[in-house]
Amino acid sequence: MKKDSIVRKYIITVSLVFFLGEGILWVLFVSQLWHRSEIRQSLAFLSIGQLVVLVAVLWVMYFLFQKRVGRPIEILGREIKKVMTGQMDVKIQGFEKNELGDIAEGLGFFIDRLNFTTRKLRAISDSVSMAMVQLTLTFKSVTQGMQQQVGAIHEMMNAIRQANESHKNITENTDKLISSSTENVTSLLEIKASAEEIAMSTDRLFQVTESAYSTVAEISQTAKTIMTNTDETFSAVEDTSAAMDEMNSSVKEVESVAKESASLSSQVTKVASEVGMITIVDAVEAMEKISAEVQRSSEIITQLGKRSADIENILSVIKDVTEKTNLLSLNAAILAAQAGEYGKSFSVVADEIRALSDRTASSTKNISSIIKTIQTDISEAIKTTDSGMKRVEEGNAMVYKVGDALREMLLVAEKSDSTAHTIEKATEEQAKGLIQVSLAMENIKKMMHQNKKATQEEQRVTTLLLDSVSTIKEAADIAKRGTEESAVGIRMITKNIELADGQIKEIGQATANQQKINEIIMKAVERIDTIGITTKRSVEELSMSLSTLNDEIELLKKEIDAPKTINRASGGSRT
Amino acid sequence: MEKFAVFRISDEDFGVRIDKVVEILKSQKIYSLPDLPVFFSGVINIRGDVIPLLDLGRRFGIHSGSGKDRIMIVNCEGEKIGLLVDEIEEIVSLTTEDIIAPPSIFKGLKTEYLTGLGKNKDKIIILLNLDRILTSEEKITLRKSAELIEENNERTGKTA
Repeated sequence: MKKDSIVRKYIITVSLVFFLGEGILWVLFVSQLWHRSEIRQSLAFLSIGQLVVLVAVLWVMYFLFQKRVGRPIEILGREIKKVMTGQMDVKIQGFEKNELGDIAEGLGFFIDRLNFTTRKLRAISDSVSMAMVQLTLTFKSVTQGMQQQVGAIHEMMNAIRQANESHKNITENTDKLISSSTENVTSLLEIKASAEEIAMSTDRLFQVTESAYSTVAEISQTAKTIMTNTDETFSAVEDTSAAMDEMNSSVKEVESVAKESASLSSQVTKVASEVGMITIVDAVEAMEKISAEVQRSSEIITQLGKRSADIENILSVIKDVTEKTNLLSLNAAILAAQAGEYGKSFSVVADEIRALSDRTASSTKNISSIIKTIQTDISEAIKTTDSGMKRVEEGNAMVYKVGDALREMLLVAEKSDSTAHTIEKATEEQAKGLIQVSLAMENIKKMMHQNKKATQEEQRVTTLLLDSVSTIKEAADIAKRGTEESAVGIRMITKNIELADGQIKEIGQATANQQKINEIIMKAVERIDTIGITTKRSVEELSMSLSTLNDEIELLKKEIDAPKTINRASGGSRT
Repeated sequence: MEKFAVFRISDEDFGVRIDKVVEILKSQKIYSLPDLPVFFSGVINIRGDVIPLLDLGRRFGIHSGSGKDRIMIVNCEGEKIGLLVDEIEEIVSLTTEDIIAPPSIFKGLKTEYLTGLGKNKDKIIILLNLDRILTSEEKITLRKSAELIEENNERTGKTA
């Protein structure tokens, strides 16, 4: 009921007009009486009550109209729509006997008549159609059968061709198969060899795994020792760090000392080169002079000794002479005494001579003693000069040595000067380096901490590794056994394949035989094919005439069905 | 006033009258003789004269340390005798006042050898009596030996 019914539209329009008129009247009325307040309330009450009564009356009117007129019209409309959609089994009943009831009766009659005629026509066309359909179906089955036969022959031919081709292929393939089978056999032999190799390798793998196991065990042990070593190293690194600090301070001391020694050595170099060498040269010259002097004095002294010996000789002569003089004087004195008065003057002379000889004797004695002391002195002097000479020589040698030593000292001092400078630089660098080293030591400390942790982890990992290696070992053991078994299997397979090879060769011969048979069959089938094609042509001609007949029947059937379709098409547009 | 030749043996000074002295010699070659008394050292040859040499020190029992290197030839009862002494000191003149009589006992010497003691300055000189210095027996042996020597000399001279 989407469409608004005419009746409702009519009612709504009437009531709207009524309300509008009423409302205008009310507005006019109230605007005139509003200023009187005593009447205002009673007026409002009266107007509302009037409105309510009015609405109730209007609703009663609407319901009555709907029952008498609205409903029957609605039902009629619905039934007509049904007929339009082709539903002919409509029964129009229950209408009151008025204008609407007559319309409903007429409509019912018309529908019944239409139904009756349609049913008769349909029955006739249906029987014709049925016969035609049966004929067509029969022919179709014949044609289909024919076509199927031809197709089947073609397919068969094709199949035989394909079979032939595939047979050729099979033969080729069989040949290939034979060759490949022989190849297979050889490759299997290779596989067998390689399987044996694999077995060998597995053996080796097994051995390697065992050695790996032992190695890992050793690694585990080593990891433990590394752990302990790491601990020791850690403590050592800490000690080293402390030592580094001490070293740093001592290097600073060394630096200051090196500076001092550098200045000292440069001073030494100055002194040695300027003062020392000059002094040494002087000393050498002086020593040479002294040496010469001492030698000369030594010569003089030896000459003196010779002279004193000469003097001694002369003295002995003098002594002899003195003695003789003494004797002579004594004898003269004796003679003079014996001569008495005459010899008195002579005795005086003799006495004088004797006194002289005595004096000479005493002086010669003194001289002799003096000369003796001189000689002893000279011999001592010679000794001392000799020792002096030796001393001088020693001194000379010493001076030369000192000179050499000074030269060496100068060289050494220069070297030490340069060395001290280099030391100074080196210590400066060393100090820098030490700072870096101490930093590095700190880093090493940190790293050692990490290392310690890592070693602990490593130890743990090694134990895990040991476990896994042992599992690997077991797996290798299993693999070893498996390869041995597979080697056995491969041997079996090889035997089988060799058998299969023989069989394949037999198959090859069989297929070659079959191909010949196939070719004979093929020729026979081709003959059947030519016969089938001629049959097909005559059937096709028959089919053509049948289809024309069928078309004519179809046209007739359409003519019969026409009213129904027209009825349907026109029914939608009319309502 | 007499003059004396003074000589020394060891530390003692002896004096001999100068008129008895023949000469003073240096030490000579001494020829020893077998039968001579102990106090004779031997003989010496002075310009052909063989003179016996008397060791006075040994005769007086004085042990002299130093070498005796002077010979004093003296006249002893017409015979020349050599006295072996250490040294001839000097010729001294002594007055009678300077000479005193020898004491009865004096250093073990027989007083018959002494004429007296001469005082010279602060020293004492023993003055010898040369004529009594040898006993008669000694003189005889001396003569014999002198004769023997002379004989020998003659023989040697003949042969030469």
